[in-house]
Amino acid sequence: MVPNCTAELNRLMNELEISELEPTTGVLTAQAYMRLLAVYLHQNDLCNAKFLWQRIPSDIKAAHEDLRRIWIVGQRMWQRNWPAVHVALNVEWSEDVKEIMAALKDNVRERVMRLISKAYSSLNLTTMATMSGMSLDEARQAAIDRGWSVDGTIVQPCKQNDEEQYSQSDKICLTEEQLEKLTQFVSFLEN
Amino acid sequence: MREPPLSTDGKSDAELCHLFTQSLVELKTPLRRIDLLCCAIRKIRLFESQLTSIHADLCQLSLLAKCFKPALEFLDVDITSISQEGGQFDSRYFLLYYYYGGMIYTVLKNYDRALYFFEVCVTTPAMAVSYIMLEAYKKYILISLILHGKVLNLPRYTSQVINRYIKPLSQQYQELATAYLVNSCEEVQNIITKYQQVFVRDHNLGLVKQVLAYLYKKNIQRLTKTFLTLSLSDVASRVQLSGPAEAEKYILSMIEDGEIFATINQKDGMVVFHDDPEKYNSPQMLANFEKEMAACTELDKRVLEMEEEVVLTPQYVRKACGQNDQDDQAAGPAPTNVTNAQGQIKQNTYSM
Amino acid sequence: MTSEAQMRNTDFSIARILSDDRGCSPKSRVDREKGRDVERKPRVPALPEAREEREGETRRSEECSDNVVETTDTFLAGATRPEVRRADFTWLQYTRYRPPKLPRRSYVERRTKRRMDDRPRIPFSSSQLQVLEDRYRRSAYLSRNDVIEMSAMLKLPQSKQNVVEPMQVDAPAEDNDNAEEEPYIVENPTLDLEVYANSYTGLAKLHRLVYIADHCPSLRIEALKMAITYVMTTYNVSLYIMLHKKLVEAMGTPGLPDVAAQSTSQDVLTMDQTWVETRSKKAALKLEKFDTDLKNYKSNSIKESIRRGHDDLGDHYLNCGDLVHALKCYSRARDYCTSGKHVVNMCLNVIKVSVYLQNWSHVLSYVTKAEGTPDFPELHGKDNNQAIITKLKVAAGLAELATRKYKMAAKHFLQASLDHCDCPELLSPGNVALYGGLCALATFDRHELQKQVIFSSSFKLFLELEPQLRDIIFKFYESKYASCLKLLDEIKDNILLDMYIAPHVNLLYTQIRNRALIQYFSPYLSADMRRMATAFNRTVSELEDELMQLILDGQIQARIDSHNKILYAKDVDQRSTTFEKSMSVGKDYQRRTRMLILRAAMLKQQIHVKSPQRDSTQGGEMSVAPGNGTLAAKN
Repeated sequence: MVPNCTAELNRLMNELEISELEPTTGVLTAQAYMRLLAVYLHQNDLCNAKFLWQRIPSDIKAAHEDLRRIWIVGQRMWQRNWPAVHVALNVEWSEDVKEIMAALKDNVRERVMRLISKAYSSLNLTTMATMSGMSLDEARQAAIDRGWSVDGTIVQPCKQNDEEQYSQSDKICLTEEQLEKLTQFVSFLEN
Repeated sequence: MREPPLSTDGKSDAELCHLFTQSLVELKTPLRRIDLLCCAIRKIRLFESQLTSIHADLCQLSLLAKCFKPALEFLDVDITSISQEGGQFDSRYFLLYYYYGGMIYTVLKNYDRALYFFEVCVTTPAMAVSYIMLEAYKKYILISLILHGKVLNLPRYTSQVINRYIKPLSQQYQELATAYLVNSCEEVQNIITKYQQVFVRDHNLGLVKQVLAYLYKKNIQRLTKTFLTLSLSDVASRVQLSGPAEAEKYILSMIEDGEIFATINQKDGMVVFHDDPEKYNSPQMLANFEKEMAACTELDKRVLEMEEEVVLTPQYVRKACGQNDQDDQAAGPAPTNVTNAQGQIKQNTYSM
Repeated sequence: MTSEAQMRNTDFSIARILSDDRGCSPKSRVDREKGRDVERKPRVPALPEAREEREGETRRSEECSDNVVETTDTFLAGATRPEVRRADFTWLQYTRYRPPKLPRRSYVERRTKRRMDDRPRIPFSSSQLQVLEDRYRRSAYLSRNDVIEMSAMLKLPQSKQNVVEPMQVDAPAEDNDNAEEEPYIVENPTLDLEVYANSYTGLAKLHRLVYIADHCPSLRIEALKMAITYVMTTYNVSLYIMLHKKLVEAMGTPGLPDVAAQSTSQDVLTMDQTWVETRSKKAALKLEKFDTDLKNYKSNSIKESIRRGHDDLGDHYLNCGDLVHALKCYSRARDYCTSGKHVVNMCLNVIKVSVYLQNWSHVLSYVTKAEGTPDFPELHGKDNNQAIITKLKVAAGLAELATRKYKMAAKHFLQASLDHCDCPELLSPGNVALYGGLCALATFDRHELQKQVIFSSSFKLFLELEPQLRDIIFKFYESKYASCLKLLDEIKDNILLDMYIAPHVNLLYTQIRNRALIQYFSPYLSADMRRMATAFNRTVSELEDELMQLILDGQIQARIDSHNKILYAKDVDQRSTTFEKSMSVGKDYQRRTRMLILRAAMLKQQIHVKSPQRDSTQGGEMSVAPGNGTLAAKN
């Protein structure tokens, strides 16, 4: 099973959640917990991740190193301590969660880059490198790839336009459907 | 998903569920049977938006189990009717449902909805102040501060007793709110230290600390309203943060959450604040508006339906036609309630 | 109540809510207040009364049935007289009026020593109380020499005789918290006291002089002397005694510049005991005479005479300084008014006394009453009528000023007419100009200022009386803010000595300043803050703070570029704001309607929190505090 796209992750999450509630078992295996936790993190659903961590039986927590490490990533994400998140992510994960964690890593990096482009008009290359968990050269390369101007140690990100999301989300057609909605609205107002 | 109820009145089922919940609580295995309760609710309620007393049990269990997803399915539905349960529906379950529900939403940081739940709990008609209401009011104050920066007034229909007694009963929280109003983090911190024990005892300390964190954010937001550019160190000093680095951290996380619109210039150490870039001209916004308008229309229709229903009841007709009191007394207390609701509906409907 | 029980009562945690101890929830309070549910009382947590409990009340259970007002009152009284704290001293609970403001301590006196008579909370012995109470049963009111006689009998020092005055005991201070100004001292007034005092008569003069004495050490002795000379012409014995004591204290304060006064002061320093006695006797005689007259009139039931009798009695009380009784007499005359003229007259009397008492809501209601009198306009001659209107307007303005409704106050003052402004027992024409002018400056926009103040023919005349103020207003109008603000600062000292406007000076000044800032910026798209700062005598950073406040209040639509020190006007996108607003209104509507529907369901099922009897049966169903732990653990 290769959970690479969001839909699949969602499905996995639902499965795991249901099986957790299954009255016969009640307690999941450590692997299942790890997966669920990682999926929550991938979806940036930190609240649920936190409570999942709290309800995992403590003997399972104690027995599984990986589980604890995943939660450390979650904690760092909760604190928005990006450099630390990357440090926590850069470990060898067990087979069960390897794929999800890799996806999570990409996800986090993308999120940081978007944040940088949104929040900074200029910043140090080193700051950028630590925030995105890359080496200086990698960071420089990434910046150039995105078309940001790099001037010595200062990076000047340009705004990414999020327009693409809109345009592909749904093409609202100004047609009869629209007209119908308007009619409904006006008829409501007049009554 | 309508299924026939288990028995005719639903009363004994509810009793059973309460006992069941209680035993689960005692056995400390709340997680096990959450789905069973979900199932019970689905069977007992007559339609989706009906509240049963088992709702409260479910919320309690999911709080205990720290597992909220199953409960959310029920909490997200707006209640429009309350199950009879053979006349045994106790107001306590109603209060508990809204109190626990508010807590669940608080925990999941859906503060808007949490505030709504606590408000319902506090404004329940009352002849006396219940402890549940008091606790709900305390949380109401805190969440109101987080969301709106001030304590919203309770609506006018709140019971007299509540208005009169609940403020002195939540003295420490009131003081916190007054300190919050002057936007001074120091003052709020002082109050928190002063009443730490009270907050710990009420299990509200975590929330209180969040109130403080939100005050910092609110102060930064105030800056964005007045300044175009400001140096990071100025931000730090005006908001009483420890230094430019912390200010940068706050601003960064606020930008990410879309709470402010700004860009940081690390070279000069300046922040440039922007207006909200939303121009309300994207198709998505339009769709959003349409959704909201549809929701309003829907609600309005509902109210109209309810009004018609009320208008058609014999008691109302008798009352409205000005018959004398004898009939009313014969009809029992029902007509007053009905007309009460009616009056409020009339007051509150206004077209957009 | 034991500490353990206390603990339990203040423990609001969920654990407790759900614990089996629900029997003593606060719900029982309601019942108890209705006088039911007696046997449960010891277990009642009595949360709202926590305040009382803290006071160490042990006997409160006996009083539970008293209503709230009563308990608080007996508190005041009972705090010092524990042995006889029954609720039947009705005169101790007299709370409707508070006495005139002036006989308060001044700032300096408070520092030197605590006087005994300012708060008449004196521990009486039970025998003294007995006498007082007997006397009260015989008659509720004391004449002046009764007071002196009784104070001798009770061996209370003279200074305590206020205590014997029944109406002055324990006047509550709660309704005037807004008027409680900070003590301050004015050092260098440029006030000609003689001229100042001459523009007032009656109690207005006295009150004002006392106010000056309290707040201006350099004028204190002079003011007190003037007041004493004037008070000697009235029957106001208690005020005389008080003033005299103040004077003695003022003389005793070392280091006062007024050394010359020391030599001549001997005659003033000794209290004129004979004057006090004869005056008191005379006053009592007069009172008796008026009283019997009134009784005669009443037995003859001639309305007009009764009205006059009441008025005379009121005048006399006023002359004695007994405002509460004066007010009573004047208002009693109301039932015997036969013509509109009389009604207006009665209103004016009541207004006058209410102003002295600083009972502003009373003033306002009687002003409207007078104005609402049928055929009010054609009652008197034209001139006379104008005078009455002016009087009413001025009184209303004063009341609005005192309640901080500056704009209304300005409007009232602006309607006064100088030729008919003859009410020295309230205020002088100069005051009208000052109050009206300042309030107008603080609240009117430029257009209103021009039309209603500067071009107003009637108010122009007033402004001539206060040339400085006139200059200020004109400077403001000509946008010469720096000089305007400077002039304002110059007259500040004098204004601070005016008893009515002094508490509002700072507020009015800030408002004027803000208005100036707003007007200054209004034509610009961007303004250099350095230049702005020089125009307003401020440093740039101070200005920045001031502007920030204004922007946050929404009074200036602008943003500050702190980097370049430039203030930019903000262009508001109407479309966006409209969208934003409609969105939030829509959300609000949805929320409220949802709650409404839910509420309808609630009422239909008759869900409401009931009294505790029922709840106690279901105690102990749940025992854990779920979720709270998660909240606390969050951070």
